[in-house]
Amino acid sequence: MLQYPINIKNTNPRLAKAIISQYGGPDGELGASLRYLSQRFTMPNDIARATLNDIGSEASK
Amino acid sequence: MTEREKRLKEIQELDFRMLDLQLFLDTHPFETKAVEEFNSASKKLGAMKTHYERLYGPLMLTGDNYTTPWQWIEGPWPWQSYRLGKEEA
Repeated sequence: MLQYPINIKNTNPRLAKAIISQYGGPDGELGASLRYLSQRFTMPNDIARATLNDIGSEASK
Repeated sequence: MTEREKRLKEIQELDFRMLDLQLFLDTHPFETKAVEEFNSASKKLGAMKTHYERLYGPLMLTGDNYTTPWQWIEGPWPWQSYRLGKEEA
């Protein structure tokens, strides 16, 4: 329930779907970012560890 | 675009260039030219940020010269227009 009511004059379900899919969902970047940041701790080599760290850090920004 | 916005855009562009180099170097650790370019971009970015902060206040809280009142809270923040006066922001 919203704290402040909003009245949407022109709904755009296609746009809403696109925005929501970016925030969450299996291909969302925030989810990917958390997976990368979790998995960097067990990487077997320097390059993999650094790449997951750096790309994971960027996705959340 | 105001002078402030122009300077900020230059900082953003150089910061992005450095990110690009960083990611490239993560998978190509022996590219000396890229390392050198990273270093010189970093130096230039540091100077640009210091100059910007002196004119417009903190960008990130990494300085050690802050004064009272605490300027970090002062508007406008990035999503607000730089053409607004500080009190409106």
